[in-house]
Amino acid sequence: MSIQIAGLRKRYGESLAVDGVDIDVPEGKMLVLLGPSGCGKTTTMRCIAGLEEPHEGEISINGRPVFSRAASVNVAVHERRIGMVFQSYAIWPHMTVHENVAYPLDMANTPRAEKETRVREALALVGLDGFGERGASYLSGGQMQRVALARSLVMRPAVLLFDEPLSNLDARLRDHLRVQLRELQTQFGITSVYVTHDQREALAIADEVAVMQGGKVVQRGDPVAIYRRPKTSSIADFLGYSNIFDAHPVEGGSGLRVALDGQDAVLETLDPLPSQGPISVCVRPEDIHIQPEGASDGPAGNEIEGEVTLVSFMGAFHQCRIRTPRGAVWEAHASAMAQPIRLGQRVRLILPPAAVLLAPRL
Amino acid sequence: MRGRLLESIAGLGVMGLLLAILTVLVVIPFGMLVYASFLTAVPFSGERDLAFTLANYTDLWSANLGRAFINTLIVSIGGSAMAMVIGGGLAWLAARTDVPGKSLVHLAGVMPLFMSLLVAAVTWSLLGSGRSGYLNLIFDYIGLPFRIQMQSLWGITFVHGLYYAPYPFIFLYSALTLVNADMEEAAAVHGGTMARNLRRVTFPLVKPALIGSFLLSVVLMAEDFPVPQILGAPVGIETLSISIYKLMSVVPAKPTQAAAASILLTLVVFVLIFVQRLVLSGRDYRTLTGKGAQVRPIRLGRWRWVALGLVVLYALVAVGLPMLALLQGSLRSNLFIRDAAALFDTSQMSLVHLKAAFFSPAFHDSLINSVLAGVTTAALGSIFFFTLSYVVNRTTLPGRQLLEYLAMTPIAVPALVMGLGILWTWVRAPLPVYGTLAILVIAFLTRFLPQGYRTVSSSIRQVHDDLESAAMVAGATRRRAIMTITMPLIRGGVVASAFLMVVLGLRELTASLLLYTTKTRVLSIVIYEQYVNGNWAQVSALSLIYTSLLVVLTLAGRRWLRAQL
Repeated sequence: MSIQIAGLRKRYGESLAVDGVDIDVPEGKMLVLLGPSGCGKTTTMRCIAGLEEPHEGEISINGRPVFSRAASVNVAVHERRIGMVFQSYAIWPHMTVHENVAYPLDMANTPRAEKETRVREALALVGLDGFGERGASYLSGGQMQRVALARSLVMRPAVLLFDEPLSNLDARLRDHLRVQLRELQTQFGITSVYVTHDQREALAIADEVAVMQGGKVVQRGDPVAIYRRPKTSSIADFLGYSNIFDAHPVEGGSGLRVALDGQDAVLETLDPLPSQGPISVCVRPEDIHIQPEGASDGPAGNEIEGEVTLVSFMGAFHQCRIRTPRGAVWEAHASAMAQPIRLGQRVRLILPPAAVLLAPRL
Repeated sequence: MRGRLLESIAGLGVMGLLLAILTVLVVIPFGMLVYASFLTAVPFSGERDLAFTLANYTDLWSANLGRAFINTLIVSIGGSAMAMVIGGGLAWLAARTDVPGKSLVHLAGVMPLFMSLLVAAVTWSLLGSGRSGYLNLIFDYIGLPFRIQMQSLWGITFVHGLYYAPYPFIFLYSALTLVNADMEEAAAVHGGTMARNLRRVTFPLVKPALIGSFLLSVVLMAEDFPVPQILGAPVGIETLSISIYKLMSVVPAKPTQAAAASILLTLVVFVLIFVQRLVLSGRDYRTLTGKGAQVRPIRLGRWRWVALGLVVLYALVAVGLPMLALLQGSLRSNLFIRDAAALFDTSQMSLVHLKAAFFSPAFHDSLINSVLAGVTTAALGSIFFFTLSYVVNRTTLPGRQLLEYLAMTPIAVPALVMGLGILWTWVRAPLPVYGTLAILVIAFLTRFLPQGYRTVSSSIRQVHDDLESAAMVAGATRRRAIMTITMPLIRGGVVASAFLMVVLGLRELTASLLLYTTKTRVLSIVIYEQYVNGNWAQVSALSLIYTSLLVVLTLAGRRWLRAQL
């Protein structure tokens, strides 16, 4: 089973919610559509399910077209054999857990004995055996999402769609369910599309990530590539590069050097210069080392001095904000194990050249 | 693609059907009125030479109509002011203070809705008209030099104020419970005194509800028919709705002029509704309920008993006295009452009128008619309102906005006006509708369309889109998804609207009065006829039974009715 989408367009009145999306999801893989709200990721997914009708484009599931504007094909939602897990869970509150999970089988007129077995299996799979007769409205959020998952799996769907399935759950439960979800997906090898705005979740669960902005897919790649090499400064911003500054290349020295606009800093980088247009320097806070001023070790390289204006303990590290003499604010993570950083302290930030990313300013 | 095509054809078919129904219910009757108001005779009435004329409008500008216009303003604005004071006071006591017996305050706030305005007007005319009004007899007996005269502008205003108080109560109670949670505490934390908080925070927050419920009361009173008909018309006091009715019932009738007057009344109401919408700008305060966060109620100290006393006084005057009057009226064996002592003379009492009323064929027939009309309206209405609400809220079919506008239009069309339009639409129609209960069902469906639609619509909106989408993804067709998921989930809202139809249908008088025939009398009509005949004992006895029926029904269904009235 695979999904191919070509030239997908969907308008709402004047605005284009989806503006020419092309996507391939190979059999058994999980594609994550990642982007801020309003970027068109949910609309794209709803077009796959058939809940929205695109204005242009083609969608095929396993080589069979389910939508094609050109060929006038539009398979009805209920004939697409899709499993979908909604952000709102969409558990029917007037039914029991068993009735919820059995619903797709009822719609397919599955024989009674087979139905019972499959419902039991599906509930066991998500760890809800014994919950069958429970009223669905008496479940907790996590349990509801498990029921939704069981309901999607029970019909042995061609593809599985996840619409921000974890965003209504608390942090601990979210991590737990995410792992379980990924396990089930790989175990059964179900081709899946997963929509989220949470970059951590996206990277953790995906075989491939497609970053969407303004109705377009702006970058695709495996999670590591997406994490390490965002294509533009705005993608970098969305992916957690919290230090993004305008810069321009400068002559002299060995290797490539860039000067930050409005700051007295020139940084060395290993990154190649983007072919054209203005550039930004993007640095992840966890790639920066913080040193108390005065403590000097190693050769002086990419260094920035400033004063600590915020220290926030995050468990594994301290999140710090550092203000340079010319007013720029940097964010850096100090290891919780190292010498503690104090508010108001003067520090030096060390940026390894490999951590300094150059991206077109967009 | 074939499935999709069928679905979109089905969608357009449903759309067309709904539009057709709304056209028949709303557009044609009102269009008929507008059309007739510019003609020399009612269209399709058999009159040969119809000509265009403005005379219907120019003839309206008599001193009489000017007087009626001013009277309408007096009874509706004066009545609303009184209703606001009563309803607002009760709402504030119930929502914000430590008044004892809060459930009693609640009950007093909505109780007058049990009384139909017809019965209210009739009983107050028993209580306070002329020398033989029960209250005047009692005043005479205890030597008070003062008499009340309910058959007057003040009487009409008073009855309006007394029985429309529940509307501001419901609006303001919701608004006050909504406000109290955080905002006042925030104001207090930031150092405001109580008086300043009331003025700077509470009042501005409640203001839309205040203005909104005031305007709603004015609208309801301006178009009201039973109260001015019973307390005003006999002594020559007219409001606009009385003028319209008179133009219809004089011999020879002046129907086209009645149409012109109807358009005028509708315009007045329309302007008021428009202003109300503007003020509320889409906020429905009755559906917003507080989070239930209990804030410290305002301590009334000694005044709490005074407040309770006032609440009890209101309940007595609005409900207690009228019920006693009805009891008195129906138990008297003869009509003449010499003095107050005779009121309590048991030898003059008997059950003969109550028995006669209860076993009369008129009562039975009209009860059956009322129930039939009410239940049919409820059954047809439920299907219709559900389909309408579903199409408006859950589909992307073109024209669904128009459907909603049409469904809400009857709010701005007074009952008497709508009744007139429906009469002219069906009286000559080739379908056998006029003279049967069907025309009453049509009238009820039209009149209660806004309430019914809104009730079902709001419950559909509470059901998340995803629930139905999930069913379709799971392999259900849209029709099956509606039947297995959406329908069961909004059953409560549909039942509520059906129940509302039955109760409102039972209380309806105004449109029925224009549409009934001897075979299709409903309860309210029988009472009205007995009143016109001057048969007070029967009026009292029937009203007593009628009101008891409404009380039982309302109490039985109060959990469905709470938010809807």
